[in-house]
Amino acid sequence: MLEIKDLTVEYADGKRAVDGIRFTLGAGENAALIGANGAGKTTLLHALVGVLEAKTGVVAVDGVTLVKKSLCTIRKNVGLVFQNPDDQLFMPDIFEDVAFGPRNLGLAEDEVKTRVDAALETLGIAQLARRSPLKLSGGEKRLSAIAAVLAMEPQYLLFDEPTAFLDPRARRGLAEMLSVLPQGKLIATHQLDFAAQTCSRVLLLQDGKLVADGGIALLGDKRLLESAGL
Amino acid sequence: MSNIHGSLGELHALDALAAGRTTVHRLHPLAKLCSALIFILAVVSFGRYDFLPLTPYLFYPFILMALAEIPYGILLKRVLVALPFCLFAGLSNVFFDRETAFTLGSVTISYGVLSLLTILLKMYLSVMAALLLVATTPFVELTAQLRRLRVPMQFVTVFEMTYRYAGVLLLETRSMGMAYALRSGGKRALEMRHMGSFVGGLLLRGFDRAERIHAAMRCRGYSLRTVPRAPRPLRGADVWALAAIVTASAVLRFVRLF
Ligand SMILES: Nc1ncnc2c1ncn2[C@@H]1O[C@H](COP(=O)(O)OP(=O)(O)OP(=O)(O)O)[C@@H](O)[C@H]1O
Ligand SMILES: [Mg+2]
Repeated sequence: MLEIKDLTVEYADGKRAVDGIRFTLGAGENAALIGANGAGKTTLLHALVGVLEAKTGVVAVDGVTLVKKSLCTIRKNVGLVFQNPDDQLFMPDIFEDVAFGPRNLGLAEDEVKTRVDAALETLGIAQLARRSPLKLSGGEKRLSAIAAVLAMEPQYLLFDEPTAFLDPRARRGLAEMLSVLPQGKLIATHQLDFAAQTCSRVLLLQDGKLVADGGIALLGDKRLLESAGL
Repeated sequence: MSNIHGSLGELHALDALAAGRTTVHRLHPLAKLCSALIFILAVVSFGRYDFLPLTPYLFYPFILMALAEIPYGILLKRVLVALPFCLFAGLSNVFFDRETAFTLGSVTISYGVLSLLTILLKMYLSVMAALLLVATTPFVELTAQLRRLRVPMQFVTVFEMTYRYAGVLLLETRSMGMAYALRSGGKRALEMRHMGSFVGGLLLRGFDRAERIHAAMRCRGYSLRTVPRAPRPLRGADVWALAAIVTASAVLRFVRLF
């Protein structure tokens, strides 16, 4: 279970981008994190893996509280797919990039290879293994970045705008894939139809605050969404 | 900005070579690192006029390049980068050290020229040894090996980061340059009065990107404190290769052929 209690995150300039958020995500549960531009989705996801430090509040993953000492454990169990795949791919080729995480976990080389192949296979990009990330299309980079996180085999997956750069077909493919993956997922997105396809729960953010938390019926509440700037 | 694509290709050309599968590539990174170091130490330990005794060391780059199937041109281009610095260091000798060392037919070779040639040869040999190491060992394995050897982590990090961010900075330059060109009203080059903000912006964006990439790395378990596991133990072939290079370097150092 991913537990978030009264989480507040402030940037150095005093901007409070996440403000007293509290919710839990069950193992295997899929929740959409929706909200207008600047609502605090990215900030929240980054705080959940300790990339940003919380000002106050608690994040706990399967009973382990996020503190400096537990960072390693938390990051092994929670994988974050960044909003911009360029931030995530930095090795000379996709295979090496996907292998980066498993190698850091200290796995033996044949186990690393098995994991990389499996992750590339799951995303249908085995043919990209030896390509340089600098020479891929936006969508190919996105799929590679997801593969890189999957290869860590985390219990929870956080996605920041996973549909950006994807064409409609790739988007459908991604939606199907996400519904097959057994992990619990938190998916930040602007695309309400994508949220409806992949999630059973909706968390609505506005100005850093959680203003609604419920089933996907929320996505039909025009007035609520409009008041949140969507 | 089109030459940036070229530079990116350059940057990753050595990576592409390092992914090879020849005997040399398959040697243990420790063996390759040590042989390169010992080779370089042997070469730089020669005296300033020891041009001739140094020439047999040319066996190393040539044999290694042939074994590793590395095209000569790629490495040569990179060696040339270091040339101006050595010429600068060596040229003054040519003027100050005019005493005749020996004559070749009707050409007199002064000690100054001899020392210039020696500097150039030393430079060529050591840079080649370093380049060959990088061109036959994937970068990750090399830095992993450095960390296993307990090289101070600040040093390894700087090494790793420079390598990764060079590409990032180039890409940022490209996208900023493109954005600039598209709205610059047809001017091809960067105007002088925009130079300051362009370079400043580039640095800030570079830092920003660097920070996010570093965050992404940490999210996937990158940590300076964990010492990566050795890919495999040293094997007979590694030890033999190392022994051969060390012996040859030492013999050539102490037993003068010329
Ligand atoms: N480095 C920063 N320093 C100060 N404020 C920041 C920083 N990064 C983001 N913010 C601010 O924090 C707020 C939340 O930003 P965040 O990136 O989390 O929004 P988001 O919901 O992910 O938006 P989008 O949908 O556009 O990606 C915004 O008002 C933004 O301006
Ligand atoms: Mg965002």
